[in-house]
Amino acid sequence: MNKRYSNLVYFVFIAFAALPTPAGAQTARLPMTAPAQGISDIHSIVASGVLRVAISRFDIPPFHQHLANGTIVGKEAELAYQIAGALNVKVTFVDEADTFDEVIKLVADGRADIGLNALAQNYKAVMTVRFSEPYMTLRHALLYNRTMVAQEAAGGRPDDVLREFRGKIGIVAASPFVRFADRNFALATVIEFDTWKDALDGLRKREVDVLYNNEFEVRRVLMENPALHVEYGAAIMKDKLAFLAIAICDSCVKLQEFINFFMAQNQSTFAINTLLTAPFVK
Amino acid sequence: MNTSTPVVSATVKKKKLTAAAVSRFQNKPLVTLTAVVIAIALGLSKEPFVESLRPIGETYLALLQMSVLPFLMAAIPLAMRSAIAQGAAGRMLGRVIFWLIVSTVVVAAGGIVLSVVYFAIYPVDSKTIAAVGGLVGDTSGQIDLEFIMDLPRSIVTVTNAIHSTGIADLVPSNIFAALSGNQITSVLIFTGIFGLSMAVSERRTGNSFFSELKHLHDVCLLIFEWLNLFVPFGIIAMIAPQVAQLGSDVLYILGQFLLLFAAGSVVLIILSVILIAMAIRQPLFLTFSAMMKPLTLVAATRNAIACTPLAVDVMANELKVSRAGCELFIPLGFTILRFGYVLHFAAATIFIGALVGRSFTIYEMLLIGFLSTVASFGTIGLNGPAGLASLAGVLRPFALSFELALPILIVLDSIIGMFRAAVTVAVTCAIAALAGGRQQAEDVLLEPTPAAIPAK
Repeated sequence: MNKRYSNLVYFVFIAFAALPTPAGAQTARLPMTAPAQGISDIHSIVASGVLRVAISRFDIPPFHQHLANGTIVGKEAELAYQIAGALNVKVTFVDEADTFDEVIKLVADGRADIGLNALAQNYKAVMTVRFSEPYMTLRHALLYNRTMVAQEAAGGRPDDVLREFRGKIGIVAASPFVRFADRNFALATVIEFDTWKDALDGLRKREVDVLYNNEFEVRRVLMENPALHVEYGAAIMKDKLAFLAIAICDSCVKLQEFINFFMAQNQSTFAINTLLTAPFVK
Repeated sequence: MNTSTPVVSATVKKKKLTAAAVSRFQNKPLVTLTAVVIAIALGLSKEPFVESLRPIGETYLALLQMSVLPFLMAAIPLAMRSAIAQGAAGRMLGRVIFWLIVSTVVVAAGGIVLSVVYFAIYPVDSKTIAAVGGLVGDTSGQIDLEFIMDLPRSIVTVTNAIHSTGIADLVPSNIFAALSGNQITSVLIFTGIFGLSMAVSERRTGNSFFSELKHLHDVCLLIFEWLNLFVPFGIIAMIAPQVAQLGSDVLYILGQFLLLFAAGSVVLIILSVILIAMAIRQPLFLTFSAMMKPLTLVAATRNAIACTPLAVDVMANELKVSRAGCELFIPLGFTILRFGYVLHFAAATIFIGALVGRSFTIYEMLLIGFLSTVASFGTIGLNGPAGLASLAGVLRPFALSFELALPILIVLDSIIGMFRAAVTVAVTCAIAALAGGRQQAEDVLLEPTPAAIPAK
């Protein structure tokens, strides 16, 4: 008896679950999927004739760079112009951010439509803005003091030391690597530097033993300063990836779709070796 | 009288134009040295056709390697049997061990002392350090190592489960698999045991396939004799592409270490030849001329094992060194005792130390010598850059980065490999001569005699 009764309850439950969703439920999700009056999306951008692009005040060549005449150049600047061209609007760069997180905040606060700043997706950012498909996937990387790591390894392999690093690790403050360091190097003492340049100075002054960033930044340092490669080594974490993507305002569903379609059509992805050898204006 | 003389000399000249005569001419030191000079000149010229010589060189090396295993299969049991028959095995073993220890100490100490003194006089300057950094970056793509951060537990378990069984790995459970896998050390273990049992079996049963093995031995030597006809061409085809591969920038940046290693190698080679001449009481020039053949061939092939038959032939038949010393010890020495690697590892450790500004105490230098010797055993069965992996065991105890050293040494290995292999050959031959001494009247591959056969 009991078994028959429970089967009946189960059937009724499945039947209700299979029914079409009530109209009220669909309406409740509307703000997430359809543009409403006063909410920014592709229509308001086209109507205004301007695509507001958030970038950092500091340069990240060859992603973006401020020239003396006020022009902004670089691979990301080119991408911004191409997207704006496809939308048939002009580009305005909002370069008020002093950190990576502030670029995200500009987009989240509605002061910019998109953010293009070598931004790596992370859980915290995803809660406030949308992201396009990645235009570049970079592996996480470490720039380490060879001698210190070899001493710690005591005759063993350096990757065993790095995997459970317990020394001082330097990162750029207010960047996604703050969260990455918390998660991946829980045993290390994390020291934040204002800029990547400051972090490099910290490594040279032995304030830290290891720097944590993406492989592009680490490899670029060694390309530009070959002498450093004798004292410092570069290690790549193969299973830790940084997805660089365009931050898009949270309400801009159609803009996100438009940008993804544009990127797929134009294969707007960056290759690391091309970027490393790309000339940039000093 | 005047008319008959030219006819006779013409006949004599015609008779002399045999393979042996050509071989004698081509094996003259001057011809060999000329081939080496031509090869280096061609390599430095960087002409595009030089690279097309590589397949010719590789084919020649393959031909040389082709008969090594059959030669070892015949030579070692014969030498083992011969040593037992003469009762020389036990006598020689003690001398071999003594000279082995002396040689290892001399090679390791030579590499360390020479490098320490050199870098004390000519320290590595900041310009070179920057250039080396650039070279390392270009070679490795600015990446020293790649690793997986979150190792799955299953992988850790599997990694821990895989462990070497040490010496047991060298014992061939299947000799045919060892032969087809070109596992020289395993083959040597088998042939040694086989030779021992062959001698015992002969005494017990009177049955012997001595003549078959001797025939196989002679056939292999004949093949090498034919291949010797092409030695100068082989040298050019093998050395020229190696030299061309080395960019002029590399020579400029790492020339200091290259010259140091070359000088150390040449000193050890000359010392070895002098010791051989003293051990067998032969004129130095004669010994030098004879040793030029295996030394140049090994420099060209960078493979000591491929030169085993030639080295044994020269030592036993030309220089008349004790057969047991040559036929037993030389193949073993070329395979297991990699003196070239001992020198290379010791010198490379001091060089990397100089590069990062690290000095070494006397105790540390002794440790470098010991670790270099131990690490050289890790190169058994490996040739070329593959053998460099063992260097990690020498560098890491001194907090020196193997990841920094590897790209530098790989770039140089095409040239350093020549000297390294030549050092192995020279020192091993010297030990064979010092331990075995000069060939005695009874020092031949003894035929089984009826007297030796017990009555059934």
